[in-house]
Amino acid sequence: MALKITRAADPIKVDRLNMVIYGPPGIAKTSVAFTASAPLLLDFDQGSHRAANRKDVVRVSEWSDVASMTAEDLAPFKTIIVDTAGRALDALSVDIIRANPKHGRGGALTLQGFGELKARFSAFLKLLNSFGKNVVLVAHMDEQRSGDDVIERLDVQGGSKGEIYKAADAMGRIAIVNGQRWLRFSPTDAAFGKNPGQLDPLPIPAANSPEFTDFLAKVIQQTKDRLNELTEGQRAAQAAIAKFREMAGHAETVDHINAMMAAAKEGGETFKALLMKRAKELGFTFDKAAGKFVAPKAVQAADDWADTDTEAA
Amino acid sequence: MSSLRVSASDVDALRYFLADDDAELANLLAQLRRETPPTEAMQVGSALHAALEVCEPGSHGELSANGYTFEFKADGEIDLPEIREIKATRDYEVDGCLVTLVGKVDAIHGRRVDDHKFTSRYDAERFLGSYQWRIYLDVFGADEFRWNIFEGRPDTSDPQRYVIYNVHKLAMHRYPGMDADVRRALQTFLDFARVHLPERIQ
Repeated sequence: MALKITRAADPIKVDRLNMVIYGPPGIAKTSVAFTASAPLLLDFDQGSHRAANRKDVVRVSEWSDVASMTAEDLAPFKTIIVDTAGRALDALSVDIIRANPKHGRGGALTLQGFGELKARFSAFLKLLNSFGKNVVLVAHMDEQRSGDDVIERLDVQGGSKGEIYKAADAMGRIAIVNGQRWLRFSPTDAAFGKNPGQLDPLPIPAANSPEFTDFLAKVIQQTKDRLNELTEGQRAAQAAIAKFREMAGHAETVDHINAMMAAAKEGGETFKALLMKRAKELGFTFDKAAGKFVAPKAVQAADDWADTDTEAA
Repeated sequence: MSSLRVSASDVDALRYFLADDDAELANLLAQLRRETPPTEAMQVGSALHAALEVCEPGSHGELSANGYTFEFKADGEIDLPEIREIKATRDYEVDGCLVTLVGKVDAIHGRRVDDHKFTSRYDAERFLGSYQWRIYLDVFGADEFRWNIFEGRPDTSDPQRYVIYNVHKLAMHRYPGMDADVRRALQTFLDFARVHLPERIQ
């Protein structure tokens, strides 16, 4: 058992996504999920018949129905919908207790059983991802009181909810406002969400409109596109930071540090922090009144001598 | 113009206080005035941070710092940026006051900032519901915030030894309107400070 530490690397191109869609019962979560690209719905909730735009469905009565799915089985599909994530975890819990009765007590999972649940659910999602599929996890909504506020969150059992929050690249909730259904990804003080696509609230088109047909497919694509834009930005930002850090590492005198101040200001807070860190390492302090770094007197004298020496050379 | 210096943990401390009907004002004020000594959990967290700050790539069965040892009883993997322990500030003008927000991230890689947490129980909603990640993204101009969460407990045989039995990676991203949320949280803190912490306002 060990912690493996690797060097941070830039993110790779996003070609598949895990998205959570949650909301209260009867708000058309399943219908919205069916508008994803080439979907296959794993119907743990036995409720897919209610969706007017129903497509391919596997009715799941026990976990073994999905446990042995292969890449070949899923080849015709681009998106796998788990409906609902809560019911899927219930089915997995039953399977775990059946396989090892010591992992259950009174029908509920023990602590070790929960560990198994988290590991196996996470492995299931990774398997689907390894097939290159988008995964849409549909979840019911729960309300939690916090002081005078009510917070909307996933209605999923115990510790396994934490695994879903980890696995979700994006998480949106469906709500009706003045008769219009909206899909919102941004978190608020009263609701959990993940919005890496930086999407504004999205009005969900009427179910009988042509725009509804591929609504979620477009949302998933927009999110992927945005994440890939961020990847490019991330690469450029890291390269600029690494270059500036190297330059700061070579700075030895207070004049060198002061000469880098303009670039640090332009670069932003990270650059300023890196310069400040280097200045501190060298024993320099920032003189607010003068608007520049100053060296302690002894160091200043040495710097002056070094500058003279350099000029002479 | 008056000024106020505030940290992400100050902002979250006030938010948790306001959301908890049973929380005592005196305890919050002592915390915000830095009058309370560091708890065991805080010291353990600091030790893990210190160990990770100098940690090199490779496989580690144990990490040690500040007199504490962390033994890994689960396999975990994290990618650690080379730039670690960076402190930055950002000024906001809020209701006629210059509010300086102070943030210290454990690591930074381009537009991603990382924060390490030691906890006895992984509670994703507590992390996601916090303002710490919003504030750090805003202060550092980053797009992605990542927690490396170490779930552990004391070893019964040695109080200076902790067992890590789970490592979690949890991420959040910048979203439209995040800066307005941060400003609103700062306004709430400023309103509170004007009444209860006037000494903090210069």
